[in-house]
Formats: sequence, C-alpha cells, structure tokens
Amino acid sequence: MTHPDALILADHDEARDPATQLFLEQHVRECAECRELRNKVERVDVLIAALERPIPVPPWSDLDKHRSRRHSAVLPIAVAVVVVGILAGTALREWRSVNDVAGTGAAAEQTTSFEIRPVAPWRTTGTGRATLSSRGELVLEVSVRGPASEISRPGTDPLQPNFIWHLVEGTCASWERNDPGHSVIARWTLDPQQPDAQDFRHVVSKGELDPMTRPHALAAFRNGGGGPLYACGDIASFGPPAAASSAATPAKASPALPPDWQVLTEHDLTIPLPQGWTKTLDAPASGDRPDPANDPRLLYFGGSTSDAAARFVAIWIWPSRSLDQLVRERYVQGNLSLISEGTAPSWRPMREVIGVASWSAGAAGGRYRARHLFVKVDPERVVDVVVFGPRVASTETEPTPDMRSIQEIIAGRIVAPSQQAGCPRTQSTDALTGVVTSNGVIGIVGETFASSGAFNDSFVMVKRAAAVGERVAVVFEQIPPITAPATSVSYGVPASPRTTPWGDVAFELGVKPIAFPSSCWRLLVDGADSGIVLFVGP
Amino acid sequence: VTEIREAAGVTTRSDASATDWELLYRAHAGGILRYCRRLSRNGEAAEELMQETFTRALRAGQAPVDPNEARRWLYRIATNATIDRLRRERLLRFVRFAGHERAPQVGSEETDLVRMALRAIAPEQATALVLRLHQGFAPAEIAAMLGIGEAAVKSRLVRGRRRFIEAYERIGGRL
Repeated sequence: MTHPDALILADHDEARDPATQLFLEQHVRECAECRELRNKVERVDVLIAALERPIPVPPWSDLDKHRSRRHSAVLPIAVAVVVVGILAGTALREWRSVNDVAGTGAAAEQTTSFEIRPVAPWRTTGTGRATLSSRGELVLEVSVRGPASEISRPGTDPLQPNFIWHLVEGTCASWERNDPGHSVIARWTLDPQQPDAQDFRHVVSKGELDPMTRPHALAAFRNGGGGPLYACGDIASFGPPAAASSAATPAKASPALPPDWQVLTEHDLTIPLPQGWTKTLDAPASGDRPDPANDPRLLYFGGSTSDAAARFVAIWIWPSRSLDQLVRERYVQGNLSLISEGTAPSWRPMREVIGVASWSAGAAGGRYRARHLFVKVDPERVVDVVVFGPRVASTETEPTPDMRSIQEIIAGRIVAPSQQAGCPRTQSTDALTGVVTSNGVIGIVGETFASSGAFNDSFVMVKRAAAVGERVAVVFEQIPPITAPATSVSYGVPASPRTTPWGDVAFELGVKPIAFPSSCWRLLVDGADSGIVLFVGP
Repeated sequence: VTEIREAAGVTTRSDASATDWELLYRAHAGGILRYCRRLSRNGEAAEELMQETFTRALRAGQAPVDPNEARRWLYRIATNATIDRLRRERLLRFVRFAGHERAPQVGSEETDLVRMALRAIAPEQATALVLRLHQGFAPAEIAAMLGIGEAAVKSRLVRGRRRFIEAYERIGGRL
C-alpha cells in the first residue's frame, strides 16, 4: 500500500483542492500508520510552535557590551571542541619550527615557572616555563606525563593527537568553573611523541598574545567531542611588556619577485604569478553561506590543467575588515578540518591555517592538506591564498615545497592598487542584495573598480525607484592625488532596461571618459554626492 | 548607534539616518531572540545570534522602509547567521567519541528536546520549520525571505518534519 506521507507532512502548509483533501481524509481513516503519522505531525507542529519562555532583551544601548561578554563566554567552549581530524604531521612541525625560529632571536625578558596539574578525574601532570621575550613573544617550554589513555589516545586511531593546548586568559579555577569572560589567546596541537609524555616548546607570537599583565593559564583540552579540561597550569602575570623594538618585529622582508614572473590585475588586486599561469576560474563562491554581503569571490590560477598535480593556487577574496575575525569565524570554527593555525612569519601581518580535505574519484580516494595564508589587502578585504597537496590515492599529501614557495610570494606581494593609490574605493554593500552602496539609494552592481584598459566596460549604476527613460546627470570628481588630465567629468545618462538586484532598470556609466590609470573618482548624481568612490586601476 | 556601529567595524559607512535602528531593534529584537533561542544550544548562543543579526543589518547601512519588508529582511539575516552556527556545531559534533568525554546533558524539559532535535536535522530544514511554525511566516514569505522558490520551502518543511520526528524520538522524545 502506498501512503500519502508527503501530503500528511505538508498538511498545514498549503491549500488543497477538495478532491485531494477528500482522498487524504479517506486514506487516513482507513490507515492506522497514516493516522499515527498525522498525529505525530500535529504534535510536532505544536511542539515547535510552543512559545519560548520570555527572554529579556538587552537594551539597545547595552548591546555592544553584551556582545563582548557573550563572545568571550562562548568562544572557549567552541574552541575546546575544535576538530583536529587527523594526525598533525609535517606541516604542523614546519609551522612550529618557523615559529620557534621567530622566538629565539632575542634575550629573555621575564621568566616564570609553573605547575601543570591534572583536573580530576584525569591524571596528566607536568611542569612548564614561560618566558616573555623582549620581542613580546611568549615562549612556553612544557613537559607533561600521564597515562597513555590521556596523552596519546589509543584505540580507534592511535596516531590521532589527543590534546589541544590552549593559552587562555583567566585562571585554571575559573576555567574549570566555566566562568564567562574568558578568551583563548592561542591554541595548537602536537604529534604524539610517546604514549605517555609530551615535551614541547611553543612560541606564542606577539600578535596573538594578549598583554601578559593579566592572569593566563595553559590548558589542555581533549581533542573533540566537547571534551573536558584535562590539565591546567596557572602562569603568573608579567609586568607590562618591555617596549619591543619595532625594527625587530618583522620576521622577513617582502619576498622578491622572480624575474620571469608576471603580474595580473584582477578585482582591484595585482597578483604576481609564475610565467605562463592563467586564470582558470573566477566565480562568486556562495555555497558556504548565502549571504550576498559576505560572500567571497574565488579565483583559480594555474600552470597545469591537472588537478592531480595541484599546480594551481586558489585565491579567496573575502569581504572582511578583520583578518583575525575571518580566520577565527570562517576557518577555525567554520567549515574546515583544522590541523593548525597561527601567525606566519612575514613582512606583513599574515595568518596561516592548515586544514585537510578528502577526495574521491571512482574507487580511488585520499586526503590532501590545504595551506591557507591570509593577508589583509585593504580596509574591506582579506585575501586567502591557498595551495593544496597533490591527489595521490590512499595517501595524505601536503603542498610541495615549490608550491608553498609560490604561495608565499603571492601572499607576500598581492596588493590592492586602489589601496596603494590611497583611493577609498567604496566596497560596502546592501546586505540583502550585495549591491555596492553607501547611502542605500544609489548603488553599483558589481565592482567599483575598472581597468584603465577596459575602455568599453561600464559601471552599472542603480537607483532606487528609477524608471526606464529617466535621465540623470552624473559627475565624476577626481580625488587627489590627481593622476588624470581631467579633474571632473560629467555627462547625462538615461536609464535602460536591465535586470538588477534593485529592479529592472540601470544606468550604464562608461569607463572610457575616466579611464586614466590609478585614478580615483567620487560619483555625484544629479548634483548630490552618492557616497560612492570608483577606482580605475593600472 | 555610533557605539554599535563602531563595534561592528562599520564606522566608515556613511549616513544611515534614514533607518531608526533603535526603533527597529525594539520592534524585532524580542522575536528574533526567541527565534534564535529555539535553534540554539543555550540563551547566550541565542543572544549572540541576535547580536550578529543586528550587527550585519547595521553593516548594510539601511533597512527596508516597509515594516513588513524590514521584518522579513531581519529574519533572513538571522536565518543566515543561524544556519552558519548550526553548520559549525554540526562540524564540531563530527568527532569520534572515545568514551571519556562529558556526555551532553539531555534536558528534562520538552523544550530542550525540541531544541536538540532541531539542531540534529539539516539547518535549512530546521530554520524553515521554525520560521513557519514558531514565527508564523507563510511558505511564500519564507521563500521571498530566503531567495528560494516556494516549492523548495515546502520541500524543506516536509523533509524537516520527517527528520524532526526521527530525531526527536531518537533522543527520547515521545510524540
């Protein structure tokens, strides 16, 4: 007997014709199974509809303060259960080693020892030494011992690292109580070295480190499953960090551009690439979160059409004002199986995240690591340059040294021409539609960037409540420093039919009259400042 | 307004005076908080989502003028934020259980079970069910809000009810 489950499950969602309704009622009368399902559906609807208890709403003026506190309270809980899906291998070791190198160059400024005690019912215990270097980095040297069941997690996967070490702001006691108002400063995990011991040295960079003038704790949480605190040690507060030499902070110089490389300009970014590489993908990446105002753009550049060789680089352009926030929210807590994250040594602020993904093709399959390097290219955008391990069946691979080197040059040298030119190009968008706008009335569909060589391109301007045939007077006023022969360009433009997120009308503003390299233009419409700034690149 | 705009990192946005944010907040914060609460692990997480909703709205610079449209717009933002959170929680749950972790506390109250079951099903289905049954939006309104077809919304509701029943009974709920 076929049961009309779909009709029952959609009972209250749609009007039905009388014949269908009659059929349904007759069937339900005769079918005990369907009656039971209908009863359950009705109960489900009641359960979900039941009102929550009244919840006090924080006053508007208080919202900001609530945000800070709540965030701090939730973050450690989320962080404590971050998944480290697999063995942390070579990539992590390399990441650690470069951090170690960064931390060894200066004499110790302040040092303290601390005890790591087990948190009942666990038994892991140890000692640690914390040194706040003159460069503002915290060097942790730790040795812990405990039963193998706690240190190396034998069982389903004996190689899976068990602990995620956290440097947290707050005391161990308050962490055990799960008090709100804490935050995680840094976290890392380690290869199992031996079943019942971990000895390591880890450097927390100045960028990650909150000023050590407040109590901090080094805590080991179990890897995964919302696990408990295993072991914890209180690190005594240090005095205010000594003024670090600004000259000592940058770990590296800007990477040199190899002579045979090319530089492409895409989306207001100048991107250095090996000779012969081409763009193979340029698309909005909206699968992760359907949020027009926050969707990234994804570019692929490669020198090989073979994915298996992984001779390509992915560049994600994220609308984000905060490097750290993006890394934390979209990668570390987001859709990535995390192996490690930290600050990469670079002449510019750069974060590194290493994750792992699996692939399959027919009967074959394997895993590869992805190395992400994040840099902020202008006030509104963070770029994630990613390289991948090649696809090798039944193997977990990581990016080759050659690809890592290419990645570091790209991430180290990628810049936004508008930023270099000092042009405050408008990038704010309407959250609902993704249209670039400053005042919500006049907008640009797509980008506020054009190439000076694109004479035939247009900026697509939209205006609320515009009608076909309407004519507006537009004025482009050049923003200093003046690089174009004309300081102001004006013309009239009619509205023409065109489907846009704001309706079926648009104004096409030709690039040609302002197509001067590295010029920056304020857009006025009918005499009023639209708040939109356009940039014409190299 | 300035305070939260700065907190949201949107201080360079220009004039948003056309939107009375405080009025909008007073009108909808309670409903959005309850909506988020139904889909959240605890009250703090719900409040985070509500905060995130208004932060994202502020980032947009201006809300729709029509009150109904503004309400739908805010719920759309809240839904996106909630789906994001639920996906994240799903990932975090995708962990081998080695036998030592603290087991999740099963709430004794029915509402806790409802929340747990909602978090156990696909985020898109869970949000559709709550928008429909808890917030009272019609399928057509949800479709407009989420930018998908009405048929897709109905499909989410049908599948969501089925999955909810399975999940609710699996965690000990009785229907």
